[in-house]
Amino acid sequence: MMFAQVLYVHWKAGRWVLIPVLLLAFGLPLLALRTVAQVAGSGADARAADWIVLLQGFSPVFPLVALLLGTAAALTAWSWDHRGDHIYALSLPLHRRDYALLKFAGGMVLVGVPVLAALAGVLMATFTTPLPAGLQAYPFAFTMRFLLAAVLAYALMFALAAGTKRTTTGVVIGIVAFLVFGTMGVDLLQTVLRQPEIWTPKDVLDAALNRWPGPFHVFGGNWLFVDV
Amino acid sequence: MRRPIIFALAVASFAAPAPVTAQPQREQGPAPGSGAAELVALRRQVEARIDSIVPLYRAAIDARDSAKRAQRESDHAARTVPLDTLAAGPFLIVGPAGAPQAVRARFLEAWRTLEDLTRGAHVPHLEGTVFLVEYGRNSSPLSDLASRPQHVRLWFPHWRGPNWHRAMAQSAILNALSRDLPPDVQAWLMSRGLGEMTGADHVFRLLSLSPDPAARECVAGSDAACVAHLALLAGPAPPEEYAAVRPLLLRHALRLGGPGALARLAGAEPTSHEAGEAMRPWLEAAAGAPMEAVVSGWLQEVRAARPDAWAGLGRSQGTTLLWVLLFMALATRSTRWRIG
Repeated sequence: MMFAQVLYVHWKAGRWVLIPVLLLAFGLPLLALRTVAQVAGSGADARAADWIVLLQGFSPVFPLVALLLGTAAALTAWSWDHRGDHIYALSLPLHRRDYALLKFAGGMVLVGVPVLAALAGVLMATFTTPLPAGLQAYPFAFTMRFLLAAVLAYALMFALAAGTKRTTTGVVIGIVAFLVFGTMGVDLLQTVLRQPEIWTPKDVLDAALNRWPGPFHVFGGNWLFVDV
Repeated sequence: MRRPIIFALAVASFAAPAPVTAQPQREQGPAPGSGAAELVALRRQVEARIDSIVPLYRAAIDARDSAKRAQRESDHAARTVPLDTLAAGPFLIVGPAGAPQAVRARFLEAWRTLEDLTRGAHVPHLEGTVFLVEYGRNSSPLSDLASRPQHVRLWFPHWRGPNWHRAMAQSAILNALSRDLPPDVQAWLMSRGLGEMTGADHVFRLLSLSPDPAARECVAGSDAACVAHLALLAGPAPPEEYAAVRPLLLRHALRLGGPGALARLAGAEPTSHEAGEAMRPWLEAAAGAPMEAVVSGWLQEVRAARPDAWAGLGRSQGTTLLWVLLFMALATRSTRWRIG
């Protein structure tokens, strides 16, 4: 019962952001495949190698949509609480930890809907567009990647948004300062110490976040939903 | 340089007597004490003065240019780092100070995987190779080094990580090694190096997507179709998109041959062979196995390299779940939650 209410409040807060993301998740695979079929031909005249090249051009868009979905779901989870200074949450006969977990679970449900829309979009795209010989669709592998990326973005942004504005601002400023001043510092050190091996903050972030087992390596990898 | 000349010309023209237009001046020396004689004397004085100043002016220009050059060199030295030269295996690595230590480790690791292949082989090109390794972002003194045939310039962005560096080092060593191959084999490779970075997965994609039915037969398992379609063993050069397959096949043969493979390859003699199988003796010598086995083994490798849409997802699920749990725990530990 409580979960249904939390989910409903979350839906009311986030529907105007989540609906466009849902449409994007559903429509982009269709758009991508139709465009590719138009440019590289379809059926017997298709240039299959061009299909791969063109689809590779589209593939960075999907992790971005997943990121957008996770961020939108996470930020809208807390927007009403922040606006009401958390008074409503404090009035509930519920431990704050449980309240946060309920919210988190509600957000996961909301994230799941566009993920299903993405699966439906890929299935529809690959069923309605004849693929050239040698290519086949991988809708479930693509959807799994999309789900993992969206859930990860959601969890990270949820953790950030759960704190006070001060904490969130502090974290963001900290990261920006680390990037800006760290880069300047490394440049200075490289010149003074004549040591070109020092990692810049960007290198550190890249290594920590993007390489396995960093959290964001799922955003890399093969995002093609049509491949050999 | 231009200024004193212009100045001299200006003064000279100022000092020159005005032309007489009414009647042509006769060719005769000016009378002593006349105005014209004074003018000529003045002109000579000015010219002598200019001549005495010009060397000073040139010296000043030279001094200024030297100072500028010294300043430029000093700025350049401040921006760059000194060079280090290290030996790794039979070759040298030159790079900005500090960097080659890390790069050398990667080269040594790569060399360890290739050393056995070269056992007993004469590899003068490899031994004379100097790898000039760019590493950091600062301008490098390597750019000032004259390019020589034995110099191989490489870019090792440090953010790419050790695995990439090792692969790059291995590729560079193999490319250097290619110049020690017999000329016939080099010609068959069509100027491609043995260190070709194209992966077997790329070859698989090319074959799978080729409009030629022979290519798809090849993917489906017909070795004979592959040999003909890719022009693997001899004959006309394969289509440009397949140019990388010959180095990949030879590398496979060398790997199969193991220790001393390169020496055996170099020692192989071209024998009479069936048309279109010019590479048979070379490949068999390198691999120490019948050519059919070499080709079949490599093609199995290509077929096994089919790009996997699920690749990495297994471990991603686990790590993503862990990260999600961590972020969730952080969310519940936030200041807000301590109120309740």
